[in-house]
Amino acid sequence: MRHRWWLPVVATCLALVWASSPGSSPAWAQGGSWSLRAPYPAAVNEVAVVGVGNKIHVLGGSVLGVAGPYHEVYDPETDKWSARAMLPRGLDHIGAAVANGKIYSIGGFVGSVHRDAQNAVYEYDSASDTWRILPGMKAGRASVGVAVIGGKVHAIGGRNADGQTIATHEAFDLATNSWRELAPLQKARDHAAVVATDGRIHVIGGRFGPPADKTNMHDVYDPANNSWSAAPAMPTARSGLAATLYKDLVVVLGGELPPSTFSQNEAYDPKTKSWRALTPMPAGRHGTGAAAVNGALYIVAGSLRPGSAGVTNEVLVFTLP
Amino acid sequence: MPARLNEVTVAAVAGKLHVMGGSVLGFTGPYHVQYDPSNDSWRPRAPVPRSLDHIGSVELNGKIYLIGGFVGGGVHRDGQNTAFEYDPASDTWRILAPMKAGRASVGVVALDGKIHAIGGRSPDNNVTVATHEVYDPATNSWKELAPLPKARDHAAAGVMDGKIYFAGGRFGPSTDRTGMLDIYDPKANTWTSGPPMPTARSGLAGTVYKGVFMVLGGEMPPTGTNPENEAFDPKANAWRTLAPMPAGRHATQAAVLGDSVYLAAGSLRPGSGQVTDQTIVFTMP
Repeated sequence: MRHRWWLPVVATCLALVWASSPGSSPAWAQGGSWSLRAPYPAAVNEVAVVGVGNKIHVLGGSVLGVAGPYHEVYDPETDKWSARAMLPRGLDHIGAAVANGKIYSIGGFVGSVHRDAQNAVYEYDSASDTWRILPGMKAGRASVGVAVIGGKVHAIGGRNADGQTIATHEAFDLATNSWRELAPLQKARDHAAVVATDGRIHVIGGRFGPPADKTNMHDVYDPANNSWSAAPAMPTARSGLAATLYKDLVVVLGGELPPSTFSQNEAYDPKTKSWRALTPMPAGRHGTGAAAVNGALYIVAGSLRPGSAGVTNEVLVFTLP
Repeated sequence: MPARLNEVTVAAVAGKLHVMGGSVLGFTGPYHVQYDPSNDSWRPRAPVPRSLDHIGSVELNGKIYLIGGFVGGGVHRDGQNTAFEYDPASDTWRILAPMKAGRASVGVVALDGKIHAIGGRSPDNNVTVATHEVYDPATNSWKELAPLPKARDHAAAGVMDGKIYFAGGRFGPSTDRTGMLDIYDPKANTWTSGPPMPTARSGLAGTVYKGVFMVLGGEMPPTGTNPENEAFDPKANAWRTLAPMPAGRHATQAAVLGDSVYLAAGSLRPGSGQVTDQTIVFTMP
């Protein structure tokens, strides 16, 4: 491919245009575009979304307040959904991540709203379409942030079985099949965005208690010294947001309350240690998840309005040039 | 409806429509949602005591009775003998005495203060049953009555003028459907046959509305679902054709609320094809 020497020049010009008229920035100046794909076969709220092997898996979630073991896979090449082996139990607000080609499902509530958080940990092998039950966390929690670095699955924050947010940070070692406790979050919270990049974990936004008690905090975990440090805050404070690493950016999307749901699409660039606003979603939503495969970012299901209102089967795809 | 549900049961009580059980993405859940026609809105209600689909249900004396059902995780798996009672005033469920054996896609009606559970499919998916049991809420006990002349399930049932009407259904696989109409007389504890339903089908919804026994929808794999809306008039001892539904569907049920017949959820195509969240209303002068 030819080296596009002119790209940084154009980007700089665009940035200047945008900076000079922040009140009327056109979509193209903010970057990226949205379109719809084949809808999820059901409208489900509070799902987990992960990408593995160029496919998007959607796990758990609730329908009419019932948390189910729902599991479907999307193939971007054929734009089709198909059923996969159900989760070992019905859960919503699961935290999920991928390591070594396998999906790890961590925690979750048994039903709406935020009921009876579980310590359940499951591993999914897409080659055999089977689930394996792994050792549980030390206590139940859900809406927990999950990210993988150095062969360990980190479970950060969340809400316990009593409905209180927690600062707990445990890591599951895939080599030893065991959990170990690490430095807790500086402030207990859940419904946050948790993404790993460059050997560090970013914990962004979330809530300290009720849905309206949201934050823009951005904490970064460094496994080398088992410590947390503060990073530039997210521009728009929110919780119940979706997040993924996409084109080396930590992209955080949507969220809820107050007054409604957020359509914001903001990205943190770890190289420049700065935030940029990307093209917002066509409509605000929460209770969804994000994953990137094949150069595109996918958002599946969730709710267009706070709580369990306006549950959707929409599948959105976002691409940055 | 706020969700797409397949193989639900539908009942009306205290001026509201209840949709219970069913499956989503192959998972059978204790779903329970209530529709209020006065403000055209839905809200969740206490989940069914266990996750079941293909439940039979009926309203009696201000309560809803749920009978049998499959556990899910596959097609027609492990029919249960469970019976539950729902009290809309307290939004609570009570577990009742079970039937003598597990079954699902059973026809359930109320007659003379008792709940009749007729036909269905046994825990062995290949076997339909002719079993007819009656539940007495006063004694919380079941008693066996005259079985159906021919074992079947996925049929429609209703009560008119002190008699039970049991129409359509299937004897085995979903293609093995029938238009049979059987009429049960509780005084003699006997079944007699009536004129067959014009369009043989199974997986249909049935309810009694304005003096006729209405049967709606159903499936006829592999080609599609039935939009047919036919009604048996006991006075004329004949079937009438009513306005068909906007689209064929099965796996839903019908209930009368106020001056109208309501159907909610189900599938527009056979099996679990195109599961719908539609609520449709039928009215007749």
